[in-house]
Amino acid sequence: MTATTVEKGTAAPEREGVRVRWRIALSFSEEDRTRLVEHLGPEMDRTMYAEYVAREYGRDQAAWLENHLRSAFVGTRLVLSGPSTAVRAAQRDALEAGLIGEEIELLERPDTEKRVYCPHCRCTTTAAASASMVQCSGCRLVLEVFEHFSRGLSAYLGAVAGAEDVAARTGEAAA
Amino acid sequence: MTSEVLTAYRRPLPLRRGLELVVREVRTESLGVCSVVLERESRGPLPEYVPGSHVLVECAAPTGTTVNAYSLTGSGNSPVDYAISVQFRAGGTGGSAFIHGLVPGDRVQVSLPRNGFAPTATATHHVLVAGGIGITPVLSHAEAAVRWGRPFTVLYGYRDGSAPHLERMRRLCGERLVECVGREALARQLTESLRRQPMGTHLYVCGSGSLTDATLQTARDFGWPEGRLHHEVFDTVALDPGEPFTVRLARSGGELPVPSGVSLLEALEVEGIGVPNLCRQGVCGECRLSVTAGTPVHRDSFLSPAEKSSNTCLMPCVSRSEGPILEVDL
Amino acid sequence: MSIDAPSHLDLPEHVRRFPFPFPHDRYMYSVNVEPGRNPSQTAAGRWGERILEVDGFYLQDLEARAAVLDRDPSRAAQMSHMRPGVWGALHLVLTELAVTYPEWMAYERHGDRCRWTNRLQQLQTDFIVGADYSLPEGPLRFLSTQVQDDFALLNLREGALWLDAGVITFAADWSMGFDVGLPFSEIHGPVPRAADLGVIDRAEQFLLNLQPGDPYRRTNWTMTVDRRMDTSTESYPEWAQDRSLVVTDPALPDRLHLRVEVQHLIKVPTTGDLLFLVRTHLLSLRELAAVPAWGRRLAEVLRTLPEDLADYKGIARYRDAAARWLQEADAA
Repeated sequence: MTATTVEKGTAAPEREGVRVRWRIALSFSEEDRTRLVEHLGPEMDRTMYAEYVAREYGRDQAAWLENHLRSAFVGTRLVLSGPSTAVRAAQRDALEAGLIGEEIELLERPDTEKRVYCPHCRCTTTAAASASMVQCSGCRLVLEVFEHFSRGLSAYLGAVAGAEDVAARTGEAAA
Repeated sequence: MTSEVLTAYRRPLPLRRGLELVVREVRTESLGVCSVVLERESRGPLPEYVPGSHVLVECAAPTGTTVNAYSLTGSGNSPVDYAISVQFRAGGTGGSAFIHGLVPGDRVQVSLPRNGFAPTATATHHVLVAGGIGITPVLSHAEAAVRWGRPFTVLYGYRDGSAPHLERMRRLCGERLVECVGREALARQLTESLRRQPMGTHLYVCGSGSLTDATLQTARDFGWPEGRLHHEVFDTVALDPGEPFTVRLARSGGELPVPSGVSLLEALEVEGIGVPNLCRQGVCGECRLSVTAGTPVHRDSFLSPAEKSSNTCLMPCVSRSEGPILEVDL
Repeated sequence: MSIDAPSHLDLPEHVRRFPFPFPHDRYMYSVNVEPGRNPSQTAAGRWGERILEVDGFYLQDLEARAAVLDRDPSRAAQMSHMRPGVWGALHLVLTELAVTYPEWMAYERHGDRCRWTNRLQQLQTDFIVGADYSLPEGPLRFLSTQVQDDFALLNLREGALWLDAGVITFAADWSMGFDVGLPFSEIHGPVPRAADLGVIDRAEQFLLNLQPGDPYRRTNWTMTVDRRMDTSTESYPEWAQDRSLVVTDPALPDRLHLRVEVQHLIKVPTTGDLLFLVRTHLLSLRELAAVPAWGRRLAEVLRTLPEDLADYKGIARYRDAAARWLQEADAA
């Protein structure tokens, strides 16, 4: 976990017709950072204002991001490189801080896990990315996982599985 | 019913569905600028509006009636009058001369308020840039921002001695108002301000075309993305009455005129030919008609590009004819 | 049509005013929007002249909503930037109610000071527009206690509509708590075929261009077992089994209801936010079959509905049983 802040000048050439003055970047592994460097090319040195290579997106990282966004000026872009769960959670916080879609560059890669929201007890459970069923860590119901994603909760929608089958009883339907 | 439609033929739809208001007050705002306050004959409440809204006003000029868009200068909250401010322009279509010639008691046809310049609810700060008479929608924004406690800054550029609503802006905004006398001072201030605005700021500009262009360019040079840039747009699409044409009914053999400003659907209805319809805005697809001769001008968002270019169908609620005659399967 | 036309006076009010939603024997998604306040004739009567409809279920529906909100406050949601929009929506709805039902409701406003009277609830309350503290539950929850409609507010920005506030207690199998903060396109992600048909994009384009003072409406439909208003995803464990149990239940024609949502789409004049009012009407198969044209039409729609749509609407288990009963009732 290394956080580095680098002050840069403002004079620079244009990139894709849009001038970016500063960038704030959050990567979630050294490989993710490598992809970030490749993606930005010479822009990396020219625009990078603050950079953080983290292992996860937790309270510390959220606080770091919020601090930097709060002190940033318009003309800044946020670059997020890493697994989709962490990237999307950071994206949500950035939008809440007032960024707009155009200001966030996503270098998202498939995750090994995903978050699933249980609407019945309002808990969120972490499951394998490929899981179509998961047991809710809150109410213990077995949830079917849908391809419906909430930016606000940063999670996929679950709903109790097999509940319409007359024979099925909640709890024992673990598939 | 029919005669009502006939007499309203040339009035664009937003005005036909608008309001007839009475001039209550006319006052000189600054050099060449007058403000007109309009109200209902009953003095009753008027429809509320989004800050930065405009109304379309029917202006009877000697050269013919024109329709101009003017910004409303209030907050939009429970209004009992609509106030506009208009700069006199020699030449042009005569709209400003008409407004400047109004006296209390005159009747004016206006549309309901329309908006293409609304504040951004999620913005953490608004920078509002006005040049001269461009202060009018900015005044409306500032009124509403004060009401809801939204942070904002106004950069007001004007020529010495010609600053409409300056006193009102000073009272309303206090230190949030930055005055710039002359174009160069405004340009300097813009560079200074747009260089360092906190993330979450949105930029709004209203003024001459060159001021708007220069402001937006300055912002882009400082890396502002398009989503943060807003300039006033008067939607003229709704106003485009289209060319008149004749519709020929392939099955019954009749012919009907479709005047400018009347949709094909309305023209058919006037003659008692009902076509099943829902939205009347070119999105639902319900009123689709087959075209048997002629070339449609498609103005809908329902038909696919392939269907449009095939010239075999059209949505009569919004679409028209390229040539003088269009034949449909009715 | 005239052969089918029953003596309307024999039918109860809620049947005569039921918004029967099927213009054709086959159902498919479309941008089925039409101007609000357009009277719509049906085989049993008419509906649609008013935007807000207060009927015999008024107090019962509001009680049901209050109970749902007590159990699960996440059905009411409001992002902080929606304060002006919520106040604008409240003003719009109270004004509309008072104009529509002057015998029961009165709304006076002087500047920002307002007095609201609702005789159906023996309620009179004073409040100040923009001052959240002036209404004990705040303007969002207060609005939900005055109309039977659920409502959502969509904010327009970055060329899209975002679901940023609302009170949804009678959802037809979706979750307000989950969808709040989503753009229109993502809310409708789970709807089968709709994206391919271009329906979602066209609907959003239409809504983006909507002007204040120009209310529009559309209907949507599904089916529900019993008069259960709260069929949200949240409460799914409570009602899921009924979808199976009803198939063989002799009481099927009384338990199974056609559920129709009349959705009004109105721009909030002061903010430009889009107010979605969602009013849910329920009519049992038996009540529906009293109007032969309706029974026949619904049987046809159920029989021909594509499998993926039936699955999405959650009616796949019982739709054949329902169609069969309707056909038999028609033959009898």
